[in-house]
Amino acid sequence: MLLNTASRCTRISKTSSLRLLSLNACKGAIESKNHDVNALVFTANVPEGAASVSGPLQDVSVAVKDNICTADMPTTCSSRMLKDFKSPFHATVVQLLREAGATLVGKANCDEFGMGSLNLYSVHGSVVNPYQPGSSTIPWSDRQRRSAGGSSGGSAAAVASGMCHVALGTDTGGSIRLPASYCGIPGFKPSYGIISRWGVVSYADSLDCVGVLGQKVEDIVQVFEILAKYDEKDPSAAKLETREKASAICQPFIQSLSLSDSLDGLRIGIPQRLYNSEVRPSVPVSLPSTPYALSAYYVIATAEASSNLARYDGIEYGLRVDPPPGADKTKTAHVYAHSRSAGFGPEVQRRILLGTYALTAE
Amino acid sequence: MLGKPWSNIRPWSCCKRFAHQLRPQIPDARWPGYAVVIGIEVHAQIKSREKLFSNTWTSDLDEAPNTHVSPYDAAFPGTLPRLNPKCVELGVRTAIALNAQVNHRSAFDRKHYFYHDLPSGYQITQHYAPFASDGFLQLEKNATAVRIKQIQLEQDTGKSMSDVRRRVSHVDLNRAGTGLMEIVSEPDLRSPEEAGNYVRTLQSLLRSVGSSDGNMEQGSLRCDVNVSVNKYNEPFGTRCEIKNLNSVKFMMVAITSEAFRQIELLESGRPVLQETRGFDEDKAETYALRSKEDAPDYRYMPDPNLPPLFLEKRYVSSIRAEMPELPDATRSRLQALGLSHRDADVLMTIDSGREVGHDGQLGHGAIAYFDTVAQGRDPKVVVNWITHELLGQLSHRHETFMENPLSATQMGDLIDLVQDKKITGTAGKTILRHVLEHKSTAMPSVLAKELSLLSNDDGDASLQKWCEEAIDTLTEEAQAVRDGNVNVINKLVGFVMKRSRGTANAKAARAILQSKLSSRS
Repeated sequence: MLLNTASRCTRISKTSSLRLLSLNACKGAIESKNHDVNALVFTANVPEGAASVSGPLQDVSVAVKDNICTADMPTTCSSRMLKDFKSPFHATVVQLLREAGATLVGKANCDEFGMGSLNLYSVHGSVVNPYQPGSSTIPWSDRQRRSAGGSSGGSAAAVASGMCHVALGTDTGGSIRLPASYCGIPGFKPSYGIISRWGVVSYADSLDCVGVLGQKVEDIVQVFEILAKYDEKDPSAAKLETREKASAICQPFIQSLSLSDSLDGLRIGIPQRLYNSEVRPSVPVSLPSTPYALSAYYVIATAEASSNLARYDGIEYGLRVDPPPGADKTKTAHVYAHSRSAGFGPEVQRRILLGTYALTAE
Repeated sequence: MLGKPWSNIRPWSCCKRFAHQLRPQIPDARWPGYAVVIGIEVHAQIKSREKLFSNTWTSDLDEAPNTHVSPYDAAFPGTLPRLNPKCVELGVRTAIALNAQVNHRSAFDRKHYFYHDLPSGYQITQHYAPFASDGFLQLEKNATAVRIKQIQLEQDTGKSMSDVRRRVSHVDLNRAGTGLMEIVSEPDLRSPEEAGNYVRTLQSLLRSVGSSDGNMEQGSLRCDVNVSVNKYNEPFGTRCEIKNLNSVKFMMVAITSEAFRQIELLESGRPVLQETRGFDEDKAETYALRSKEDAPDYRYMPDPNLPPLFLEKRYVSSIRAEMPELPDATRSRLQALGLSHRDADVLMTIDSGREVGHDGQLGHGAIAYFDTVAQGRDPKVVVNWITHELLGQLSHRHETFMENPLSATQMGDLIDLVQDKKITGTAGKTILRHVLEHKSTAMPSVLAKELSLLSNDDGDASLQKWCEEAIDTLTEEAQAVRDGNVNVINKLVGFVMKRSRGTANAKAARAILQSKLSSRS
């Protein structure tokens, strides 16, 4: 019953008074739904009389992963370190969504700083996979609690349980693709540099990507087109000429596909090294460095994580734990250690240590 | 007006042959049998309007703490760096002035350490691939070319001030993220004096290209000095690095004292240990900060946000074409105008650094002032008025050249009045004082009239009258002159000058008085 209410709420009425009414009703429905799934860690309040922005996304409700900055909602990264943190600015992706008229329903649970594959490492608790066979009649409380995948588990579960049409996630090493797959919804991780990372809390900058999870592929496409814009605030954003070149190359293929619903004649290349029992060869593609990919990923991602997370020291923002009386305060690092030990969870600490080790000279 | 100043310093290319040579050791009477070898790392703050990676404005020392801080400068989550092209431009100007190779590709790296004035936990620098390398600096008044190993762009840190009584540190992030140029010399310096010369030469070079105001006392230029000693003509000894030196004078004292310390160790058969040392200004000696074993591991890593920096040849040549005049060229130009070495020096060091504008805008310092006033005037007369009268009056008023209210046009007018004998030199000085006192924007020719300082154009009438008054008033002195005591006439001339309020021509007055006093006898 709750699932149904929330589902109906996702298409929001177009007239603004009805929209507000339905938003308030939806907030309740989303919150009771969320009680079982734990997909959202903050539910947006819609202020009375808020003017709706008209735009291409005015009928679309969106959940935003909690490692993406919002100036009107907390941004905790599911970490105790940032439990009370509110960013002074919107991420570029959030700004673009608002300008396009999208309704932000709240912030989505995730693994701490995006580090994890099962959404178990969160200060807000783990996310429960909402996916159930359509035939299931067992009440929610009695169902098996299964992982929604991670690290964008909250984003996937919020979409899969009908709390929103689409959700923003981030993907450094599978963090959109895994939970989308676990929850049975489409998830899209675009190429690096296509969507702005300004306002996305860094885990491993050279790999971090923002992407979209949605109930329908069409919804994802619509949101992606709003977000795939060059942003001068992101130094790693793909340049305009690169985008135009790529688009020109893809255009003929896209056109040939959209002409019919049939995929007849479509050839899909699959890297040879990734063949396994689930993937049947169609056109083999050779990517000889694939065997090194996983090791390289772990070195690069943890090295960058150890660097990016050095800023959480309890001085300018975030959790601060003062050293106990008599503690060694002779070095700055000794003072920071108390905040960092208390603020970071086990997986984040593990990756910081691995990354520090990888960067250490001898 | 300066034409293509770069062409003036082209002859330096003759020094290129030194660029890959190690300088020989030089004996020194202070430490017979030993040689001292010095290398210097200079951190010069880039005088850009905005910081290196954010569009926050850079700050002056007198601004309230933490008023120039953006979320990026405070390392807020989700912020990303964006390279300020002005900093690159000023860096390239500096590299060209230092005869360095501007590298086509350079890159940014992170240097990690935990300190409370470094909010991100790392400093972005160019450790692996600096943007310029292999240059040299020709020292002033010395034939020596000091090789420059590399120049890199990097971020400055915030500042921390310890409150010892309350046992807390205050952090000010105004400076955090300001651009720095790290200029690394090869170990080519051989004495404390050469080291001082190197830093002073570099300071005036940076100021002349507008890339830094290079002020050690205010911390916009900081030096780390590497010192080693060895038995004369033997291989170099183990070096120690002295940090936090905040004046050229202290740097030279620190090097001298460090050289003596190391020689004393060697003389007593003990080894010099590689370490980082501080300098105690009161005791004039260095002290150990940390040993090589305690050297921090900075865990350098390529910055994953910033793409490599590509500097095309065309970009570098366009900056080369617009290079401001370098100090050597300025000095030769001034001397060619007939100025003495000393006058040129005075002009070039007035308000050192304070005239440097933001983003390479060349300030209107004393040289520019001189150039404007000297247009169509005698350069030697102009430089006298600037260095003696103007600077003298300013310093008497405890004001700097920056605060000088007398515009170049006013100064030109004033000099013309005196040169054309429309006013006397004394009257000219009175007008100058008047302008400084009242911050007057009126032209001196107008002021001369208002203050009745114009020399009289009523023929000799007034002068005749004043002379007669002098003889009538100072009767005893007049008689003394008549009696042959000629020196007493000066008293009478003084009376005339006073009476005319400085407008009278003293020579003419003397002549009239002489004739009057001799004819009556």
